[in-house]
Amino acid sequence: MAKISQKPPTNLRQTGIPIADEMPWGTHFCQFYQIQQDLLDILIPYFKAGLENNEFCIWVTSEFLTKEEVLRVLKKNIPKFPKFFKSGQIEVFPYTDWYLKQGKFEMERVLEMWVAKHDEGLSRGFDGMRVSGNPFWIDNKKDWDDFASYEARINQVIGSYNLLVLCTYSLDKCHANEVIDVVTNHQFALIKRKRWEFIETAEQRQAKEVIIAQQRQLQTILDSAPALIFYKDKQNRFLQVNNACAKAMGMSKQDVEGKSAFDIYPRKQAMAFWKDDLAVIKSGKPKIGIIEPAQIKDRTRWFQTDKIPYRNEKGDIIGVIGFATDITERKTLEARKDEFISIASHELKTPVATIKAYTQILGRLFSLRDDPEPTEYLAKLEFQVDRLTELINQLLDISRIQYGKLNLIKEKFNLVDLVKDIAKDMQNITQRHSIVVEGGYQGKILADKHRISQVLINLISNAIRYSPKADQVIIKIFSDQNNVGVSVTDFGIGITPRDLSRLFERFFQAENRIRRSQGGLGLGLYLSKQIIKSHKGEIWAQSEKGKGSTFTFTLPLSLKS
Amino acid sequence: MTDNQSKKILVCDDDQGILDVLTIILEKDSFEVSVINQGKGIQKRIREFKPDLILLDIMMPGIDGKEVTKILKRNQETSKIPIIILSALNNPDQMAQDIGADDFLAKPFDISDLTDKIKRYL
Repeated sequence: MAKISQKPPTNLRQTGIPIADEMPWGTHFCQFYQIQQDLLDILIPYFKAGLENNEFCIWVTSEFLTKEEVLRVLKKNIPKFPKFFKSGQIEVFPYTDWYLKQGKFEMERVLEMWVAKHDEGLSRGFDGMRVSGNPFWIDNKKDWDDFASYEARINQVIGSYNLLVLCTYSLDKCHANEVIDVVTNHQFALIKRKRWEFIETAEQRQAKEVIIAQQRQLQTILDSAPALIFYKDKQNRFLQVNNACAKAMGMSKQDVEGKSAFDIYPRKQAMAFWKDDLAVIKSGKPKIGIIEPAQIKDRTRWFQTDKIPYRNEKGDIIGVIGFATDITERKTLEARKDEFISIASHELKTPVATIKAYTQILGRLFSLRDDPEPTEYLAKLEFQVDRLTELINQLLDISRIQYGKLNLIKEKFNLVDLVKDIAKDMQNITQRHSIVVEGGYQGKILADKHRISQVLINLISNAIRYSPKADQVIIKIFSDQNNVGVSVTDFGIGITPRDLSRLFERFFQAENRIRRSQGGLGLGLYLSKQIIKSHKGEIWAQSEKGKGSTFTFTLPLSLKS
Repeated sequence: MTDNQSKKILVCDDDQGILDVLTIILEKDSFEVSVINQGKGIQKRIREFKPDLILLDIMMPGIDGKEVTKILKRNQETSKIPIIILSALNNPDQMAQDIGADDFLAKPFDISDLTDKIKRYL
């Protein structure tokens, strides 16, 4: 990609006329003249600026100036004029070949001629077109009225074209009425009294002031917004940025505007931004919530950005509008929170390890005696200690899942053996239920054994917990060509359809007194789902209130290899 | 149990509760136990005590268990002594593998798992 550092083509054009200065495309203005010199004062610098700024130029000649005279004065006053003329960048028509081409003035025909020339100019690679015309040939009221409505019509449509129109009017031919017509039909008028003056009606000035006030207000709003706001053109150049954006980039607005991301950021980052921009420009669809780093003054900042197609009034996409938030603080906090939870969980587990060890020592001591009561209580104590450990582990897991850090450590193992081992272990925590394992699967799977165990333990302990009056939990292992699955069925209290749909949400616990009395953080099923999801498997529940529930997960068999 | 009598285990952990309970467990199994509550000075202790096995915590102030393992495994005199990592960190298995320890056990642990692991090396 070429390095682009010049200002992008803007809407503002240099008129070449000192008192008019820069005007946007779509400006329709006029001058009043009395003598030939008045025309030359304005029109020569006007066309000189056009030729030097890559604009297609058309001069329809008027009184005091024939086509030949026009070419002669232009040649005299504009360096390299023959080159411009030879390349066809400027065309000069006598009014008889333009307004009165077929003997009389017809508004639609003349408008069509202008539009055709405008389109020709753009297709030849010019930025736009500047023209000048003169209606001195009008000698009756009807033609004057027609021409006035033609001028009014130009005002209606000029906004959609890259067009500057300067109409010259002879003061000697205009009475007061007509001067008023002319001034109201143009955005401003240039008139020479002692020197050239710039005339606007109060209405026009007010309209302009309203627009300027609105623009200022919009700018104030943009600059007050904490969000980083920017517009870029299709060439990836910043057209405008608000204060927050310039500040975040560590540059002044003037320094940013006109530059491309490639001038500002390291190539790799600029490329990433450019790719997003291009996707938005090509698809015409917004891209929301892009999280990307940016190197600013040797420090990495993180941004969350929404990019939206930037359209002109006609609806064509001309670039990208961006709204960004600096999320560096949040990123740092997230990392710190993760670290904190990691340390907290380590610190909590250390005393728990000691409690568990003493419980087991006591259990061994009492088991040598005749009294079964202390042994029973110590077993319960140890079960609660294990629950506490599980809760601490869950907290850490949740924090990792949130930041996408749940790294699977995959190994090949026999799923049936694992299910049977866990079922045997879990049998120790319930006297009431018998845990039955059915079905089977030949062969090994490649998965994170520890995480799959976590899911199985969660499902089986839920089954036991939520079927206090039942006497069976059935675990079924099944497979087809693509998947191997495990289902855990209980004959307990069941789940309402409403709860069923929210079961796997974070911190969800069914609104049920029995359930709440069972404690827990409501993280078990959420975690199970995340674990199965990260194995590209599926997990779901079926239930009938009062009859029981079945929880099933499947793992794709591609995990085998 | 008598066959453990001549075997020595060094326990290195910054938590006094863990040191106490491990001493009780191991002495019940007739091991000779020495404890140290930081990584600093462990080499001197090893030279004096001449342990047959080391139970080692990871998260300790100063020289942590990772560094201790690396130092001991690099040194010819100590590289043959089995090290079992005993840590409350998540994934101590991965950690043990990464730093070159011989085995691992997650805290909280089962006493039977601990004695099984120790038996494997002694």
